Amino acid sequence: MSRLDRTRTSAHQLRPFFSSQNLLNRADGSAQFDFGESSVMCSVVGPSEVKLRDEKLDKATIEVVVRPLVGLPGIKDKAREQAIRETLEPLVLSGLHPRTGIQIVVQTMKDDGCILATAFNATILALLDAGIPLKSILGAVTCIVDNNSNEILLDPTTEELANAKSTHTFVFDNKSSITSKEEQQESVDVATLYSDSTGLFSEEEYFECAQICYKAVQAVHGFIRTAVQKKLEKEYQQIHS
Amino acid sequence: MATPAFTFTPSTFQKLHPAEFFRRFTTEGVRPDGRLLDSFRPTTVHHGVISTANGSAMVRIGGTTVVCGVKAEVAEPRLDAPDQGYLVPNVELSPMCSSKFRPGPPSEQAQAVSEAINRVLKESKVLDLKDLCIEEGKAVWVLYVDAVCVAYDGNIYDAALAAIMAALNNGTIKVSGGTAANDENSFKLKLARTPLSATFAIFDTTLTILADPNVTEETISDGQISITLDETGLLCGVTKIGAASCSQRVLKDCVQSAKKRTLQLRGIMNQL
Amino acid sequence: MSRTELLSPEGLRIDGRRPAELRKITSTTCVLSQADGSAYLEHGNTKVLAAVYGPREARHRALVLHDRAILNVELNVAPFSTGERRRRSKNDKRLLEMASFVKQTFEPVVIATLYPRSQIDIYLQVIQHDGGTLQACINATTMALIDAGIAMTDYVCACTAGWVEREAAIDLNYIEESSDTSEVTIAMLPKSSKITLTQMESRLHVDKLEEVFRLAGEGCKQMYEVMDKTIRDRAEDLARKMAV
Repeated sequence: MSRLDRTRTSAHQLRPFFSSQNLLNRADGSAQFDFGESSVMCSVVGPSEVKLRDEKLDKATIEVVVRPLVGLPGIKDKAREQAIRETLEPLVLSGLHPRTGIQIVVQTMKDDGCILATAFNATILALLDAGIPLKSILGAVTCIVDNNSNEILLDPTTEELANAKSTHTFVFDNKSSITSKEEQQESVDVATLYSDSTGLFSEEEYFECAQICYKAVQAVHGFIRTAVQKKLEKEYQQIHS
Repeated sequence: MATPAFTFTPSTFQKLHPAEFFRRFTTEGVRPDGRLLDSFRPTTVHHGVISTANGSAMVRIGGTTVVCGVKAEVAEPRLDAPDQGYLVPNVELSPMCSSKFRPGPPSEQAQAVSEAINRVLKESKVLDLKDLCIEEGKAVWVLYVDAVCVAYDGNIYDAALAAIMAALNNGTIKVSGGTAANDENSFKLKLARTPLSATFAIFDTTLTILADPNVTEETISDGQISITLDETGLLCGVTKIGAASCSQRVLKDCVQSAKKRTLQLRGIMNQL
Repeated sequence: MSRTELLSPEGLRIDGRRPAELRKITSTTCVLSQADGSAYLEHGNTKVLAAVYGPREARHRALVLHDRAILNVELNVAPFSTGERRRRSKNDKRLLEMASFVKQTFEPVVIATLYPRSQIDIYLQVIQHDGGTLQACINATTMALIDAGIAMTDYVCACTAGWVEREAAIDLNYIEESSDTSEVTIAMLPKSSKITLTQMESRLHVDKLEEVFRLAGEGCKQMYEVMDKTIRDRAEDLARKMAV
């Protein structure tokens, strides 16, 4: 079976990843993450001074700004800001930097579906690049249930999204994947960090999507790990050469 | 010599340590307002409260009150969809409804709720937008669905969605200047389905799940799960946001609880 | 557009009222749990909700007055409240003007010197509009302020009156208001019969002014009766609950 974008052969195949860190020299951390033709750039500034009004006495204030591909930010972007911020808040060890602010700016560069998932992955890479202490890393993947074939397609393109019966975005952290080495077991009780589903779907479909996305996210986790490793190796070489 | 005990009144304790105060209740299986962990607040629905609107409803969930009005207007269709009208939902959280909202442009929460409802209405195809076409490429109906929150006590998503669905359900569009509401010049909106939702708050430290959080519970909770279902039990939306990981078992329990709740809410809505 | 007959040959108005008859008034206080004081008022089909927060810490330091409280009035019109949907921005001049009328009406009546360095927020929400929004806003605000327990020298009761075709009439509805009728809104302190606001924007012959004014004044007195009854009933109800 071939997918609509003709580069993939399986329904559960993700598009090729690409990432690049430390792109912006004025920010404390920055990263770009691509799922095929979808690309998001993210910058992190902080921990730095925060407006008195937003200051929290016991932890850092996280501010997320989402910029769309074209035009001014709308309500869609506000909703994404809320999603990203509230997912990151329990992940960032913000208690280590009380009374400071961490500003995260997410900019869409190319849109070919799954922008929210791409943005999540770009954000976590940028936070790692900025050296912000984290409890764990996260990985995000989107899938759809196709309207005609009723098949679950991972990482859909814009074309595939137009034909979706339901759309599901999942974010998982890497804690549960390290502890539970029982992947051969069919239904692992996976722990969801963020989940957002719209469209029409049954309960079974939802939990099946969660399982499939959970497996796919392991690849994203692995990629993020390698990306950070490569970057650090390069930095080490530069220092010692 | 015994040191004098440093004691507070319960209300002082609540102000100083809201989370701990709350935890002491939940470990006993009750909440400060007397509800059980899985019980929803009393809900009432009134239909047709605004005579200037094409359809209207007022929904009250505990201390949260939302008034929703639907207004139909004629407009030009979009170029990419010449035979479709459009639906514009908006949720307003004015400073009137709670002291936590400041005057000025819509807060992030108001925008996020509007967007969530917009997506549910669009993605689960509540209304066939082709029904709103007057003449292809020239004129279509636009339905402005405005939900105004007049009193805020948490769980705005459930209240706003219920108010919007109730208002759309009794929405009647007058085609021409007829006076009687029931003459042949008007048509009722045909809804393919009526999605309703149930929201739960997650407490990370104790792994407690609370149904229908009020405003104090919302502020000290770590995250929320919202489950939207239509009348056939098909899911129209699942959102889990904030807090650390939550297992599938918890989500499954929430779906079951949401099924019961939306069934009950549907019963309340269909009365009268 | 053909002119509609606003007054029937028998002297009845378009909604069947006599010229000096108010519309049905429904009022309740303490409707919102979150606000310090609140009131809901219906003048026929005009429905207004008022919420009072405060006296509380002022939002902007710069505005604080060391000897009294500042009043802040914000008026919001629900998009579905009028016949035609209009998205009114927060800075709509018309709304700002109306809010400032309400503010100026209450400034001399609220004993603001009792609450120095604080702010009293009055939020008004028009849920349905059928003429006489300003009077409804003022009356609702009075009740919400009383409900919040804010000290005032007297009630403020407002009523509109106008010259409908050949007679003076009170409490004009939307149809009467919009068909080029001259309209006067007055707000009165019923105990002293002092007027704290008069507002008129249209043309009215000076000879007719006195008659219109007299009628509006009577309307204010009637409004006072209704509002006072609601407040007293509410207070009695509370007193009974506290005694138990």
